[in-house]
Amino acid sequence: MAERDDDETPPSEEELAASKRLRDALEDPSIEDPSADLARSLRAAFSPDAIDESAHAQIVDDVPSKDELVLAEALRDNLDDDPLVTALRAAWNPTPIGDRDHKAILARVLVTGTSAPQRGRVIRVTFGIVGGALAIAASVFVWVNAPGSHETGAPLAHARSTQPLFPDYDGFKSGSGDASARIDKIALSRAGDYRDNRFAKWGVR
Amino acid sequence: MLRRVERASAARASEEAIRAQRAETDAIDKELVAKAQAGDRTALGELLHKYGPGLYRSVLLPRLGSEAAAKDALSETYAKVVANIGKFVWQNVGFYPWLRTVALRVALDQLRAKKRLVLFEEEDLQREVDAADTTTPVEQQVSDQRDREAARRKVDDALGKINPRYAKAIRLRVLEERPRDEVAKEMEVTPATFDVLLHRAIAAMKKVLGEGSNG
Repeated sequence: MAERDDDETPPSEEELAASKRLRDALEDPSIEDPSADLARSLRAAFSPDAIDESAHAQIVDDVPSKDELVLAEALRDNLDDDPLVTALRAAWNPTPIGDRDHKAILARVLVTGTSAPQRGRVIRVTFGIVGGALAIAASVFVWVNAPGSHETGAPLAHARSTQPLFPDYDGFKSGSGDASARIDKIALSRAGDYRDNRFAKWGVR
Repeated sequence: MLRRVERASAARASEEAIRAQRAETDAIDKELVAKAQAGDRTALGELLHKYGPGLYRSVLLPRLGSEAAAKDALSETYAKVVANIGKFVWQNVGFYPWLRTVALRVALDQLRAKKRLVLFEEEDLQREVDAADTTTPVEQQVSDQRDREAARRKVDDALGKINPRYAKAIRLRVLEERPRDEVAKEMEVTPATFDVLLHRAIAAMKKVLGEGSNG
């Protein structure tokens, strides 16, 4: 005897309710139903849908790049130094000015009548003063060390030609062997000048 | 009925007390202004010491976005007050509205001079300067309250222009200054993921503000 087909069996109340749940769940994925889940997994295996483009873009966007990770870490470590963070906090919950800071600003303005000097101005003024002082010091040094500024009473020997050392000069003969003697004569003369100049500077001549 | 009359009477008495106190304060300020205009720096110092800290906190710091900039502006405001106190005409609205207008102009100049990324734009301050010139001045307490509310509205507006999740990250971590781990937990991400989220949130807001100031 052949089995009767299931379709021919009259459905029970329970079956009718379950079939309604399945129908609803297949139409509306937000409704949870085990039979609908099974139906969906069968469909996904048999004929998988392509991923929605915007959903895929969202997933890709959610994965941070290496650069982003570095920047995120830097922001975490220096959150308080970020200008936008500072600005947001200043607008949302501004901190009061410290009494000492306020008094300092007030005193400076009341005494000088001008606002706080900018850092750039301070640097320029400082460089101006230091530069001016150095220029004055340098000019004094040059003046102090200028020739003739020391009155020792003894004239210094000046650079001069070596010609007077060789009154009988009539043109050097190359290879005559007199070169060493000439150099010795010049060196001796210049050493004497140097010694005299040192004594003159020390004021002992 | 009797209680209602009593309450109304108490309210009237309170208003009168406030009015009397205000009149007394105005009289003191008026005298200080007169002395300051006669060259008395101590009197001017008293006026600025009284109103300066509120001006810094409610007007300058929220609009300029950094303590250094706000202190520079406060200093510049004081210098302008020293230079122009002789031009100030007492008009029964006290000294503060004039001081606030001077400060707003200084802040506006500073915003124009330095193109930093800040919440307030030149146009915002120009509107406030115009409003200060055309609307009825109010006493400092009320003015401060309005200025603080305006600054918070500006923050809310900026947050409203970015992804709500980014806005939440900024609100919890930056504005409420809650600990990183706690905020990460509330946003149901790991602390490391939260770092990325906050970085993206700040970048998004910088973009929004940058676009605002460019366009």
